[in-house]
Amino acid sequence: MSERRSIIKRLLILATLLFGVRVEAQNPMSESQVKAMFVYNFLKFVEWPVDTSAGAKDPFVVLIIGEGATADATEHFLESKTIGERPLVVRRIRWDQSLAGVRAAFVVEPDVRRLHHILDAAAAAGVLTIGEGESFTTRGGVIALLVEDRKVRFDVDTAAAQSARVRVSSKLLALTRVVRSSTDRSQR
Amino acid sequence: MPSLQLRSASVFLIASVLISASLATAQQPTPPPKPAIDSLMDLEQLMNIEIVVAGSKRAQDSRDVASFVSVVSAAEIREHGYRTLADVLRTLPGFYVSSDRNYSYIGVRGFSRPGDWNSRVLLLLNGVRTNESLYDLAYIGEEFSVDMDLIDRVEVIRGPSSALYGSNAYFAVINVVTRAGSSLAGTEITTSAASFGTYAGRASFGRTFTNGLDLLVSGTYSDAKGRDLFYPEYDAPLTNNGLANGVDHEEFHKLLVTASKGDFSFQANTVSREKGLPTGAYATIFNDGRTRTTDGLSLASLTYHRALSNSASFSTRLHAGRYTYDGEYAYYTDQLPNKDISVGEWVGLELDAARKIGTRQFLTVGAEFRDNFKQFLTNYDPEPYVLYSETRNSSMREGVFAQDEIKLADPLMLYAGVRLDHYDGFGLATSPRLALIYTPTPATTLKLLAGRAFRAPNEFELYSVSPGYTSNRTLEPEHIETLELIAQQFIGGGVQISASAFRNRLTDLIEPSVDPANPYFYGNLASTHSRGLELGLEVNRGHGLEGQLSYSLQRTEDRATSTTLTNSPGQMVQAQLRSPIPGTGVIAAMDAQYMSDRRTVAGNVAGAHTLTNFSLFAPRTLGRFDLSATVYNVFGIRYGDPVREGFAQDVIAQDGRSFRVRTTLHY
Repeated sequence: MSERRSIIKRLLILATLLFGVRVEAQNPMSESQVKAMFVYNFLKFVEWPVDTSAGAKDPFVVLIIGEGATADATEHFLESKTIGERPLVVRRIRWDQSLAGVRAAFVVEPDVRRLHHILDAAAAAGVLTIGEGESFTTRGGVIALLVEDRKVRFDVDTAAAQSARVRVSSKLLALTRVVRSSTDRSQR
Repeated sequence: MPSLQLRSASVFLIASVLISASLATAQQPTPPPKPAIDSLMDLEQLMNIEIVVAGSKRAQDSRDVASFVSVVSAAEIREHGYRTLADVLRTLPGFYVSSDRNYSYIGVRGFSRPGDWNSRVLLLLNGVRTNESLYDLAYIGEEFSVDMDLIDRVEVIRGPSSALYGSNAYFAVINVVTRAGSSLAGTEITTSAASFGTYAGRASFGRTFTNGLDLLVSGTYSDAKGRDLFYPEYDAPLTNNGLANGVDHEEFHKLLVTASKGDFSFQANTVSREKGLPTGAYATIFNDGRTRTTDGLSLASLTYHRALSNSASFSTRLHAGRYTYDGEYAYYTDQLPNKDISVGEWVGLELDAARKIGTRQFLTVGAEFRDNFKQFLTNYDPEPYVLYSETRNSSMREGVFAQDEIKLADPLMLYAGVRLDHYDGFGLATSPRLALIYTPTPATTLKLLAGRAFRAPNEFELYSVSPGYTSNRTLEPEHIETLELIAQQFIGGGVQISASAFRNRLTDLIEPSVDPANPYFYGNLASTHSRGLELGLEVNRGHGLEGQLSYSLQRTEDRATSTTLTNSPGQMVQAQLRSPIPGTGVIAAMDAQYMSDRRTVAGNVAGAHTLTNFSLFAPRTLGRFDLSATVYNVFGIRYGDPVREGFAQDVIAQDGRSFRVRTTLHY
């Protein structure tokens, strides 16, 4: 009797575990929501050169360039957040507008020539660039978000980070799918 | 288990819509839906989240890069107070709209023909065709399929797109994309009041559930008393001295449900509108309240889109539709009105696949089948019973298409596409399209576009007979050939300038005859030639000032007589401007449209005019309310639109100054 009870108990525990895991697996969020959270986390694991002119509570400006679900979700998600004590301020601009005074930019630009224009300007202005798809880092972006097997992953290009004078923390690099250092831009 | 979840979710949402509707005035705050997962998860947790892969709604945008595309956003619709798609379209370069106080008609690049219910424009709702199967008509007034508040954006692709979409994609393709449920994140209740006794309400619910299902359910109801009007053409004692009192009413309701989960998306919608005809159109008794039309359109579709990898995708769609038209035309005071009835029912299947080939090519292929299994037209007097016509048909349409995007050199792209269509009774039609796109610098784009498209005669044009109208079964398809050169240049600071020059040649145009002494009929009666130039300036300073300015110069003439067509303005100027009022959180918006004079069917002139509209929009007042107020035709300009044959009026006067106020409650 007690043996049977313990079997039932084990089955129940097993079922709970399976069911629990299954419930978790059945809890998908939209791609854009998850990507937006990644963008926020990246901001916490990147160091910029010390800006003596900015106060500890001055706004931290993030740009969104381009349209799309991830751009919208990122704008929405970052709006009320802070980095340390600095409130995040999100601005949407067009690809040909100035990047001055900005720390990071989320970029969606299907036109390759415009994308190069943005990435060159960002590197010159010391702006962390985050985008989508493998080609984003091969074209000179710093961090690319992509989807593999229904999970969000990211690539980092350390050479691009260097030219934008930002340092990506080792904790972030440890979770990176591909760490590139593509000083060779022949694919452009 | 999932079906139970789904069922309880749908019960929940129906209940929520009902409850929220009843609470509309009570302003009872409900807690916002709890985020599915804590929004401040760390990286390791994020790495483990399974996501819903985004659907296909954007997939087709890229197919049409090879065109002159305009996109109007939800924000622009809200801030300018656009009431209908017609209000949106009249602000776009090269587009204009006219109205006969029943339907609104789209004009594109100097072309808007009487007797054409927008059959030369393809109107899509989230990629699903809305042009029905009898008149191929596209509704752009209040009878359009969805509430304007549910639109995420309107994409307008100019030029013939028959190479992708087949018939009707003649002058333009308009794709209306609706908002996802997640963008509501709860319930929205809108109430509005407008001039001429117009009251409307909308209740919507939408959100993404934790199992990944994105759902939106919305209902709208509107009732308008309409205007009391005076028509000098009827100024005689027998016709109430030209006064049309209480016969301009309009009432409609519409429902929309969209659901998407994983690779699947579903949508269903229905609209029904009843409109009184105050104009005495088609020789009906003037000022007789019995003359009215009721239009209904219901559509449902299921789409499956699968991204096979970053460089390949596949999608398929099953869709069905039902169109009903019930016209009552009072011809005799002592008899029941003449009945003009149409019912169209259809199902269709679409397949397409896209794949990258090597590093330089992107190939899209597809096929489309449509079975118009019911095409019913009838016209009769109920008592004493006289049957003028009755047609029961069915037809099949099949099409296959392929488009290849080829990178010829780094800054030079070639788009080559062709579509083959088979229409019952008309055989094969070929629609090719070629586009060259050159981007010498990131800020400069040059496009050269050439294409040919066709339009098969519709059921109505072929078969309809009613008092004063006869049929013509010998109609042939009409054709258009177009050539267009576009230049776009960004000049920094968020400013873009653009220019487009075009030439359109139409052959065997299907038109109604104009001789009132004989019954009207549709024939391949004309061939036309259009030339034109469009210049645009667009300023976008992010959250600050935004605006557009455009100028169109166009001439469309009959090739045989070299006379300008009717309802074809030679010049247009359109401007839109939006700006936050500093320190208030309120957005002020104004838009204006100038149109030069237009020839009418009777050979007169509808005078040039400028319409100016002004709006204020206050988002999230008290955290929950969007308030807006718009004055339309601020300066009360008197103007009129040319109308088709069958009207005693040559020009139908349009509304003077009017207003609308609205509140939207979010919770």
